[in-house]
Amino acid sequence: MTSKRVFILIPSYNEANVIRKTIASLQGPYEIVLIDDASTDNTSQVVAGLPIYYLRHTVNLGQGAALQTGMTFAYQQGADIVVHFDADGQHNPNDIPRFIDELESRKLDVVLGSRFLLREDRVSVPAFKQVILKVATLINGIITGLWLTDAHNGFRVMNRRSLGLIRLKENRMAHATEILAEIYRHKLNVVEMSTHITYTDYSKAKGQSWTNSLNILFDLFVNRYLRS
Amino acid sequence: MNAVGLLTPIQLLLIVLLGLLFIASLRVFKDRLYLRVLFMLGLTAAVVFIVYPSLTVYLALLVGVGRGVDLIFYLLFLVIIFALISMYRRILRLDETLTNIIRKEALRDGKKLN
Repeated sequence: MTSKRVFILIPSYNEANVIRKTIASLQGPYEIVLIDDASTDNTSQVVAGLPIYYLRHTVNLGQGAALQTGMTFAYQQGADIVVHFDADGQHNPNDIPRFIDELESRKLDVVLGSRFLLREDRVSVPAFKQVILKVATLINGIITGLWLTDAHNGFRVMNRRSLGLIRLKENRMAHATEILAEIYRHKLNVVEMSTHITYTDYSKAKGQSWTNSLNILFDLFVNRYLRS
Repeated sequence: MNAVGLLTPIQLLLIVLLGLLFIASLRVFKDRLYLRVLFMLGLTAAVVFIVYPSLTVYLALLVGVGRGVDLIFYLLFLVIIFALISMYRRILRLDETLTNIIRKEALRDGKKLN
């Protein structure tokens, strides 16, 4: 394992029911940063006393904005490596050391999780979601120039260099595409690694419906053509 | 104008309404000269077209549109789309400002809980 300072960023909106469990699952010499995106539940009370950094948006901005706040914070705190981790517990904490080792040994800038590299990871993805994700990888490739096997996988590991270069302006879910565009723009070294997503009833209910992909497309269009 | 050289009731009404719009616009576009100029030009054109409706027909035929009203309708459509896009861009900028303020606050107040 690494001797570097690893910050795990957990953007969170109304995840009081699961957030303690998710944080407890992260065993290791990690600094944990919870970015509470103006939750209206009792998230702040639930996490009180835990050895984590707690940042709060006073107004709900979206996951992209929360991640950027966390990345800026980690950068200011001198983080060497940053991990994006979902609050709902669908990511596997054991992937973290595996991804970090890969990042360090191959001197990469970014390692992205993918559900489509191993059959066993892929089959646990609901069939309809697989179709949507495959379409999304195609669209992402066209828009960003980065051709990957998965899209909108929230599990990512990056080094400090990437942290200093990547800027997310997409406050909502389109950040997942924007981050690829940023990786491409700054010519960062990136690979995908297999990761397993555990789809619980909770995470499925909290997850996005496919119709939101239309919103994402709209946001991407707006960002490209209307933002000054 | 009608036979006696006076304005018809609808023409009068429209001109009065435009006058009110003019007064209202004095407050709305206070700090934006180009919008104000555009607005004044639009109002002037509207008054001219109300007084001389046949002018719109002439212009419409000139650009290949059948009726004067249709031409006005198409122009109106373009103006509204333009206005919507400008307003949306403004909202985007506000959004960005808001994000920056909220982020700054979150970074300032962020702390270790234990």
